[in-house]
Amino acid sequence: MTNEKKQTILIVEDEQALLKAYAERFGEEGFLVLKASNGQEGLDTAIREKPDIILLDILMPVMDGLTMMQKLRENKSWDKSVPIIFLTNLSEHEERVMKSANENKPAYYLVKSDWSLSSIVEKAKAAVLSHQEKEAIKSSVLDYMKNKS
Amino acid sequence: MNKKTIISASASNNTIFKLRVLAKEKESIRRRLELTAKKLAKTAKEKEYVRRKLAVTAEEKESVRRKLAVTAEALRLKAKQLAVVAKEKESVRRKLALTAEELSLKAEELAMTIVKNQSILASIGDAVMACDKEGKVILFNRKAVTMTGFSAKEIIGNHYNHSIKFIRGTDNKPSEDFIAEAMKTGHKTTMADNTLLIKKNGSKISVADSAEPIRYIHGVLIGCVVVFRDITQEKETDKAKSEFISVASHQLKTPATIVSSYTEMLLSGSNSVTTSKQKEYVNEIRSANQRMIDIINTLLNVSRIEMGIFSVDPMPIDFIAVLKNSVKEARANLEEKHLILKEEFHQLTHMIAVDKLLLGMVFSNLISNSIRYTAMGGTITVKSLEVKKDERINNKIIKENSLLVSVADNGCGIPLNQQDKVFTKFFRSDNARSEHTAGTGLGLYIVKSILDHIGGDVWFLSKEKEGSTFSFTIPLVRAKQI
Repeated sequence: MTNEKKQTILIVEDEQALLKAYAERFGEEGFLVLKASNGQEGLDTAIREKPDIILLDILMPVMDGLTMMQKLRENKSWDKSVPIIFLTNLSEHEERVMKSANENKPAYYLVKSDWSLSSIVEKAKAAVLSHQEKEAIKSSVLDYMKNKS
Repeated sequence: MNKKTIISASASNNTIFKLRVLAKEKESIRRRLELTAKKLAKTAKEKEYVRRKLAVTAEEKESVRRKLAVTAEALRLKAKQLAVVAKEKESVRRKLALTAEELSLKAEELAMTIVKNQSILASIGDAVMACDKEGKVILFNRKAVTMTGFSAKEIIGNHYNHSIKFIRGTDNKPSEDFIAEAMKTGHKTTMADNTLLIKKNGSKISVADSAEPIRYIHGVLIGCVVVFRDITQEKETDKAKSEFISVASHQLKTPATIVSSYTEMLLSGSNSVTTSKQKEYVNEIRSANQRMIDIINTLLNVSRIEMGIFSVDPMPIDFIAVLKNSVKEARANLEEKHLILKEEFHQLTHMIAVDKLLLGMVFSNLISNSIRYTAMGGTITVKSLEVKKDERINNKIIKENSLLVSVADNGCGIPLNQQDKVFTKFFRSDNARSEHTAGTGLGLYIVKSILDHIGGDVWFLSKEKEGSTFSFTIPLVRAKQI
């Protein structure tokens, strides 16, 4: 990790065994892990804890992942640009998910069974990094503008 | 004499006297004779008269006789003629009687046949419509009535396309006129898959149909029989089956993912297994699990193809990059079997628009087959090149300018007697089955289905124990969207 501060990851997954595997692996990789078992819990945790990245399942009870993302992006109290990685086996709705992911950038779509834990971790790290770089550029531009004025 | 008589009288008066008496007697006799003669003459005359009269009568009689004879003959003749006529009449009458009987029998037979045919046609589970060579409907059975909602009255006598409309399920456009096609070519035609029939009330049903030209003696075309069948239920069953596979596969994917996640954690990270034996065992679990995931993905692809939800997204792509990526993914398996892979990728002069995922899937399937069915140390050659219409490549004439990709190996090949089944679902050749237990028999089915969807083509050349060359083409000009 480039920053001294631990990155926070929110994992939203209703399958407990998977949630545990992801949480342990990300913990080992130096992330501060927050867990949620459905979209509603995930949304509440995200708004409260403001994680650096969200790992999101799609098919879940109470509230599905796509709805959670939509609500999160609509929420005004918090930065809308947090990167989201969809992790799902729901290939039937690929198109809908991809479309939704495209409209709600930065969001990525991965098929769980096609990706190893380590490659998911890599993806997440890269997404956080690219997001932070963008934010850094944004803030330095803002600083520059502020100083100028 | 008189002088002599006088001299003698002087001699004897007696003698004279006697002479006188004699004369007198003579005279009397003469007179009597005369009288008799006269009488005789008279009698003769009378006789003659009578004779004549008799003769006349005889003549008359003869004439009458003759006349009678003639009449008799005529009568006899007439009688004969009449007899002949009568005979003829009798024969005609008999014949007529026979014919009438036959006719009534034939009429009965005919009536029976008609009734039989009608009841057969009526009770047939399929809709039957027959039209003459002008396309005018001459028969419309009961099932056709219930299926279409049109009465026979509304249909019969009109052109077949007057009321009956078939459309393509894919875009709701009128389907090709397979009936006209059958009559034009004289060959049986069948409707494309996914054909809908518009009922009288406007609702649509899935149908399967065929049109068969009717030929008379000497092969003269006199019309066409169209048979169509409601396949809504079959479609629903098919869909339910595919949905079941889809749902089951998704359900299976989650535990498979959990297994793969934990095996990965056992192989790396802070809680990984320590001994090499443990590692070996976990690796076995991982590779078996990976095989399971591959099978689940294959089943999902099949169900997607069959449910018609295979999304095709043709885009201008760097196809060589896609092919190279498939080769890269297969690298580990290639190395494991020490196979030599030769790449001959040639760029195209034209841009090609094709779905990246599907192209990768087709190519990966062919490579993994070659890897599986080629013995250790074998060679696999992958090629891509541009081919022109009418060119002959790998024993096939190219239909249109295309991108051709081929995968050739020197593996076990496909037995000649099973080559026609290669693209059928679940097919695995005998030698493949006996030597390699893994394999679902779905890979080439998927390859063929995908290429059918995107308007491409796939074929192969193979010889048992020598190897196989699979080739596929994707047209350069069009990118079919479904």
